[in-house]
Amino acid sequence: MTQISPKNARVKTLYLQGLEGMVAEVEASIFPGLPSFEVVGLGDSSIREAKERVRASIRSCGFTFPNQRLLVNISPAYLHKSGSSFDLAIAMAILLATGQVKQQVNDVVIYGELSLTGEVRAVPGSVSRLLCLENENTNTCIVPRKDMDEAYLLGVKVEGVETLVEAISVMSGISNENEIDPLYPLDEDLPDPSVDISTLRGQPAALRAITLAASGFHNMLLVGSPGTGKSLSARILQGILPPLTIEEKIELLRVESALSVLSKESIVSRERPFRYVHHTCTPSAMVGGGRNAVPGEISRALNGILFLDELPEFSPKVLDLLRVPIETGEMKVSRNNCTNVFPARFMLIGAMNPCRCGKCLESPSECTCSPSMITSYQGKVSGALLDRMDIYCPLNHISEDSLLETMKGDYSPKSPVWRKRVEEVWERQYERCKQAGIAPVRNGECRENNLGELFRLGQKEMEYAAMVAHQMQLSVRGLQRMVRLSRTIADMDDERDVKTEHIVEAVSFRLPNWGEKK
Amino acid sequence: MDTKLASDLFCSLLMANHIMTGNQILSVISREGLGSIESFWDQHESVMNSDTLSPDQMDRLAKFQKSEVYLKFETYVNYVSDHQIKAIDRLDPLYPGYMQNLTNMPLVLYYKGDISLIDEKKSRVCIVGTRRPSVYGRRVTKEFAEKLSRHDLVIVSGLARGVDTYAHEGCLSAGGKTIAVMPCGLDRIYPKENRELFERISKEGLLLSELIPGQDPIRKYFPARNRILSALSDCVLITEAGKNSGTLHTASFAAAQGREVFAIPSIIYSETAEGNLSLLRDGASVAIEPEDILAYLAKAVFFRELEEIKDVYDRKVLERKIKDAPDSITSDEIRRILVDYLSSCELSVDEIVRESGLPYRSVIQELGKMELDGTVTRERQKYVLTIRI
Repeated sequence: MTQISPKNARVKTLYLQGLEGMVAEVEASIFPGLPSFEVVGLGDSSIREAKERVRASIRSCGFTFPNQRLLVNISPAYLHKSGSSFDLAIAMAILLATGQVKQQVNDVVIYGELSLTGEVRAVPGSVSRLLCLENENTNTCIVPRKDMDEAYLLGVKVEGVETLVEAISVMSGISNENEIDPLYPLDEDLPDPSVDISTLRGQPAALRAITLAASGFHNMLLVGSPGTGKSLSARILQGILPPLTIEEKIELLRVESALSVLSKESIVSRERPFRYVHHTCTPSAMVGGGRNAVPGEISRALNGILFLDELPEFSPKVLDLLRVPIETGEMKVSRNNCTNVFPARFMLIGAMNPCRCGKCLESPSECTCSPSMITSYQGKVSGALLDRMDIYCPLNHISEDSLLETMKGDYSPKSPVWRKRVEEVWERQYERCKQAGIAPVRNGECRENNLGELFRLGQKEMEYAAMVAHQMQLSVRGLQRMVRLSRTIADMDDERDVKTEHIVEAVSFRLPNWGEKK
Repeated sequence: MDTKLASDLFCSLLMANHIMTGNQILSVISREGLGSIESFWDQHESVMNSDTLSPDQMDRLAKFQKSEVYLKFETYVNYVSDHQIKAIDRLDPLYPGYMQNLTNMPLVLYYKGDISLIDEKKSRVCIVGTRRPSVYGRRVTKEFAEKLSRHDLVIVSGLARGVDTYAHEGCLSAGGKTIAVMPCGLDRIYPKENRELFERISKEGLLLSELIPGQDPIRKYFPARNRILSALSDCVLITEAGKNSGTLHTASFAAAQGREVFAIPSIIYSETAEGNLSLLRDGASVAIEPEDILAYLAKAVFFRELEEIKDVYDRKVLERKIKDAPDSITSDEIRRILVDYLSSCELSVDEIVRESGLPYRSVIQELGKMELDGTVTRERQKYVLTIRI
């Protein structure tokens, strides 16, 4: 960085736009004139308030705040910017412009929030910021101390600082000796799940549905009376999902850091997210939004489970917003002249009672709901959303015999064994995608149209699937989803081609006709 | 001379002249080890003696042996076969099983036409009613006969005036098959005005009678003929019947023989349909459209098939197979097991797996196929057998 004039200085900083880290330049100019302090460059109120924080922290660190006319510009000036991460860069630009600090290192990037006493505080979005550094030519990156965990995980060399004074000394060429081994190691494996899959003994249908959902990353609808284990099944499902890969983990970290929900433990955990969303959730909390567009629950469930308990209790608007992300795997939110794209690849696991009192399936005589109540209760979940459910998993009260069985010795495979199996099935799916020359995806997420070719269905099988779809009155999407599930069934059998027997089994997981319940 | 026909005719004559009853003839045949009726005529002189017959019967036999028909028996047999009249008897494999089990069924039945119409695999509906139907009764009879025969049902009636005639005509006009059970020998036509219909049925359908050829219609026999009408049929439909109509005999025979009785509802002031209304009050099924009858028959056929399926497989053998070699069970066997379980109550997959001990995969795949071909459906998360129509 070169000084343009003794009274001018500029520093590079990083800010967050949606989930993207962006580079900005902070310029400070000092003119003679009446004392004033202006910040320009389409900043929001948090940036206007930065003036006071910067003034206070410069003074409390023993430096002088210029008693002249001071102008700060943040470029590119045509983009809206927000957040308190500009504090440190503004303070540094002013100190450089007034000549109180001499810059000894070049290509510096600096960000962080300042307190009135000159401490440097962490800001949201560390991971996105650090990731955008890869394309930038930087020598030194000065970040809040707390962001060092993420930086080491990502393998980015940074200088973590706790105070403005520390940042100044880095600027002056004195490195903080906070060397930690680069590439912070992720956890090797997952801890044993809290609920083991062997709990499902005596419910082979649910067991099959859950292992299929995991093996193909399929959306699933759990229907059963209260107490039949709907939430439990969702938890079990999480327990048999393989650990996140590094790439998946980093993508998830971007979301989580933008929302400042990272802890030291969650940074290194490879457990797939499980988002238990309450039915009072608002549209913007679900899919992302807000004044400055932050990602919602569907993005926090990235590569993991979005669990919606009591599906009919959700507002229909919220549920219908899910339709597009389910199909496209991302959510676009437009704010302030720019469109933010949030990743949203998740497994939608819905759970619902068959009616309001929950008894109309298992003990219809005790059910207190009128037929019209049942219809309206089930009707709250739109057909369009139901159509996107690959697997329909009925849950029944466990009979006495099965309860007895669950008390006996356990010989069925445990969750970690299933997790290994699921991982193998995923590998097969990735391998097939590679052979077809497309990006590796799991069956449930596959958005290709030529499923017959990609999933290896013969002419006979395709005709059979079409016949089945016609008979079950499936939509084209319904047919595609059934074919995807058939592929997963075949993958679990390690079959190269999908056979009719796989399609037949997939049929039994399609939603039976609602409606004529009573 | 056709010895089979001769023996059948001879047996009928013995019964008509009160010389022997049907059961006596059958017991003589089984005692003598003849196996069938065929050789009865040839051997009747040796098997009919004072050991088997009471003195009274012996007297009547002696009288009969002097009668013209006995003396010119061969001429008589040739006369019958010239009329294309054939006979079946209870020792014949053609004699339907559903009639064998009933009491008071004739030993010998004479027929003209297509005997396959009484085959057990076919479904038959008997349509009977008053001889003097109203416009409403005529219309209903024709319409039901037409629609039912389009569903491959055989229409059974008595060729009498009124409803019977409309039933046969409706059936034939729809291209269906019909059976007429006559109250006289098949060389006679009663009533005379139905000659054309009689000829047509003898070619396109089947004429039946238990009376020997040459026998004129006997009024007091009319009610007894009705027992054959209902016995032949899976259910009886009464389109219009007056207060004391003979048709009501058919209904009571049907009830005794375990055949469902359907009656067409009518306005309560109608005199021609008083019988219908009282039948309905007594618990007959209501037939408002032909589908009511079709649905009942489908159910009956379905359960008959179900019984057959159950009979075929030996459950114990299968159970052992499930235990020892669950992979070697064929899809057909699994289907049988599933039908067996589901026929008693509706079950979830979990319950079927637990009860049967079959592997989950086999069960779910077979249920998938059955769902597709409409054998089962899912209701309240459980699988239920459907009734095929």
